[in-house]
Amino acid sequence: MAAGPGPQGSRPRLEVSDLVIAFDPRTGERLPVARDEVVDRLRAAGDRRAARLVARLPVDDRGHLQGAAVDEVLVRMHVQLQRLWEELRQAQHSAALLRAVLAAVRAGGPAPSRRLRVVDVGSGLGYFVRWVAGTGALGADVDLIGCDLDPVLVVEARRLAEAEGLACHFEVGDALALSGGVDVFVSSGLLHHLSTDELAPFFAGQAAAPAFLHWDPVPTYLAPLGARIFHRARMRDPLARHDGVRSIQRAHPDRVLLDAVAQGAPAMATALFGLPNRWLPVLDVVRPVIGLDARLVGSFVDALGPSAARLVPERGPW
Amino acid sequence: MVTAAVAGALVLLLVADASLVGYRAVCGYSAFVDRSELEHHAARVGAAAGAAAAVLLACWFGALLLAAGDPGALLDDLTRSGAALLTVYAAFAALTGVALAGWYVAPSRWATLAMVTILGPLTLVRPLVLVAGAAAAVASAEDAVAPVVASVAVVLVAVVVETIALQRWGAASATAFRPAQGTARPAPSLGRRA
Repeated sequence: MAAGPGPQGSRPRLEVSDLVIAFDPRTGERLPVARDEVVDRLRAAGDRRAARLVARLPVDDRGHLQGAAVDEVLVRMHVQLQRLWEELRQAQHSAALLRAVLAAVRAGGPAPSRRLRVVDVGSGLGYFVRWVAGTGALGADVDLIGCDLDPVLVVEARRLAEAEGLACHFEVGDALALSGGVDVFVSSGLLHHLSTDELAPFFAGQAAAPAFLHWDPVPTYLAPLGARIFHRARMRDPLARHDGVRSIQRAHPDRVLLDAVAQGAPAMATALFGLPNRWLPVLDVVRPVIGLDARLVGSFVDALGPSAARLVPERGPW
Repeated sequence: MVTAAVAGALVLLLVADASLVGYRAVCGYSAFVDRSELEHHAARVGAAAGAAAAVLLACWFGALLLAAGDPGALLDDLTRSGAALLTVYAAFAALTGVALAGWYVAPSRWATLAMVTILGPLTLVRPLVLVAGAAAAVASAEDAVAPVVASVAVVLVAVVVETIALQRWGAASATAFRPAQGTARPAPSLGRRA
C-alpha cells in the first residue's frame, strides 16, 4: 500500500516498512528504492532516528537499497509483529467476530451449502490465516486466503503454512481484485497504512462482498505511551519498534473510518465493536470497523449473542 | 531455619526467573503458529540454567563461609541481606505471577490489560529490579559489608551471564526450530473469551 501522510498532526508520520519497498501498481514488479530518498523523506518528516536506521541499510552501486537486505528486515519485523498479535490474542478476537459474520452469511446466503471465502488483505506473513487454519476456528467449509503485495512475505507465509501442514492459500497481489467472489474481507493493522483519501476507495472495493472486518489500533490518549513501552519491551529490531509506535500514531480516528465506509460502501450496515473504556482505554488497543450486507444484520447480532452488547452501530438496521 | 528458608526461596525465584528468561529468549524469532514444543523446551533449558547458577552460587557461599573467621556472624549478615533481596524480588515475582495468571485465565480484554500494562513494562524494569534488590541487600549488611557486597556482585553477574547466554541460545534455537506437521492447536472456546 502507498505510504500516505499520517491522519493526525501537521507532519507526515512515516513507517519505514512503507518506504523501503515499492512495487509497480500495474505489473506488481518490484521497483528500485534509493536509500538517500528514503532518508531525506524521513528527515523532512522530522524523524531523525528512523533516518539513521535506514541509512545503515546496505545499498548497491547505484545507491538503491539491496533487495535481499530489505526483505530480511521486513520478514524479521513481521515475525516480531506476530508476537504482539499473539500476546494481544488478536487472532482469537478476530475469529470470534468472524464466526458470527460467517454464521450470518451462511444463514442469509443464496446457496448455504457452498464453501465460503475469507480473504485477509495485506496478510503479511499470514498469521491470522494460518492461525485459523491451524485451529479450525471457522469451520471446515471456509477457504482461507491471504493476499499481500510483497511477494517475499507471501513466499514466507506459504513456507510457514506448508511446514505446519495448514490448509490455507497465499496470493501475491491486490486482494480487492481477486476473482471468484469473496464472502468476508478481513485485515489486521492495515488501515493506518492507507491515507485518509485512500480509505473510501478501499471500502468501495469491498462493497459487493457480504461483509468486511478490519482491525486497527485505537488512537486513544494513552495509546502512544502504551505503544512506546510495549514495543520497546517486545520487539527486538529497532525498525520494528519504530514502525510499531508509528502505526499507533497514524491510526485513524473512529469518525474518519466510519465516514470513509459511508462514502465508499454506502449500502452496507456499519458498526464498530468494543470501543475502549473511557477510564481504561488499554482494555481495547485494537478494534474493528465492521461492514455488513444490511440483510445479514439480524443473523449477525443473533450469532454474536451477549457480545452484541459491545457493538457500536453507526448505520443500518442494527 | 530462617537461612534455609531465605536461601530456598531465592533459589526458587532464580530458577523461575531463568525459566521465563529462557522462554522470552525464543520469542520473536519464529513465526510458526504452534511453537509450544520450542517454548516449553526453552523454559526447561532456562530452568536448568537457573539451577546450574544456583549450584555455582552455593559453591561461592560455601567457600566464603569456610574462609570466614566468624562464619556464624557472616551467615547472619548474609541471611539479613538475602531477606532484603528476597523482599524486592518476591514483590516483583508476585506481580509477575498475578499478571501471568490473569493473562492465561481472564477474559481477553482483561488479558490485554495484564499484558500491556504489567507484563510488557515488567520486562523493561527487570534490570532495575535486579539492581534495586542488590542495593537493598547491601544496605542491610551490618558487620560483614565487604563479603556481602562481593556476594551480591557475584549473584548479579551470575544472573546477567545466565540471561545473556540464554538469549544467545534462544536466538539460535528458535531460528533452527521446525514444527512437526499437523500439530497446530485445537480451536479454543472463542465465544467465552470474546
